[in-house]
Amino acid sequence: MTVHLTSDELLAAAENTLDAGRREHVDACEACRLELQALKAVESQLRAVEVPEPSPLFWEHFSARVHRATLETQPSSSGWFGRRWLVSAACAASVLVLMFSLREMDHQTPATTVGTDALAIAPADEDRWDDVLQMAAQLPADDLGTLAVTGETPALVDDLSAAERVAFVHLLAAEMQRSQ
Amino acid sequence: MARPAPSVDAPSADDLRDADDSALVAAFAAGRHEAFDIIVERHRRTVYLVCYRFMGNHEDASDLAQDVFVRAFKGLKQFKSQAALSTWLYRVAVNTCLNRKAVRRPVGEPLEAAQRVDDRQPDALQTLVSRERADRLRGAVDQLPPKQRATLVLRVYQDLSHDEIAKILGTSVGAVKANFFHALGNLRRLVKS
Repeated sequence: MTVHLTSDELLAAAENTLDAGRREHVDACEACRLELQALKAVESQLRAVEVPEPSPLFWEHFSARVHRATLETQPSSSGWFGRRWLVSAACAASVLVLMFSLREMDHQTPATTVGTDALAIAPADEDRWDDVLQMAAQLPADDLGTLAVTGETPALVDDLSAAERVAFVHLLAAEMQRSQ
Repeated sequence: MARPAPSVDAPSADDLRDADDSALVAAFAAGRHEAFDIIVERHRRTVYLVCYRFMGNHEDASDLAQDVFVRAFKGLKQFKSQAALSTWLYRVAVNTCLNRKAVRRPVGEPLEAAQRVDDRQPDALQTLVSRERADRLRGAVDQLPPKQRATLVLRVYQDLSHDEIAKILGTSVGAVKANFFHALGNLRRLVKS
């Protein structure tokens, strides 16, 4: 009497990949034959359970839903003033702090002139504003560095209106005085 | 998430439709969102069917399939193109299904609805019996341990080889065969009882 089929062999028999020698055993062994039949019956019942095919309209809606959902996973642009203004302010603050530090190193300017110096970068002074933007693009600070790589920094700060630039400079002056 | 601009000689949207999966993945990595739309269109039915086999009803399958693609969208940049995209998507789908916290038992058709079958039709009884058997089988599959259920779904309903299933589930071919064999054996017992 030969050894009964193992589980691997039963699977192979169900998938018609069992070698000829072992197939002879199945033909001769009722226990293995019944086991194999039961295995095939369960699989056959499972395969008979169908999934209702969704309509073409469902697929169109599905793709649109996925598209919207993937867009929502990207960082939202929460309005110009809410996001770009804050990023711009943070960038420019860093630039001005750096500029002022460099000036101090060059001219040994007393620390008491900080506020005045910052306010001196008036919105109307386009050359100095351009200097700020140029330096902003080179700063390695996290936010600013990212923006500089994508080339967005000048555009961001250029977007500021005259009134916003005034507010901006006041904000920077206050920030620098606080850091003294 | 700022995406790099597409290169000048990047394929057009029409070209992408004919591109193979690896080209779509590359286009997506280059910042072309429309490449992912085509991936969705190409694989949505397969993903949905896997989800349906796990969940047993259209609503959950639809929601879960969407979840699978959102996860795929987030993880596609980490996808290693040595593997087939379909294999990776299967893996995401199976993991999403298995990890779903509140896995509900498959919802069969309510009894009231089944009773509305027109009994003047000669095959009405046969239809009812088939539905009951299908519901019982779905219920039994739902009781299987996760790995056995995943193996069964991929083998029986997706016709994947043991080798492919092993890659998807991150296990050995031997383990896949053992899980499949035990799944069928468990189903026999569950359906009988």
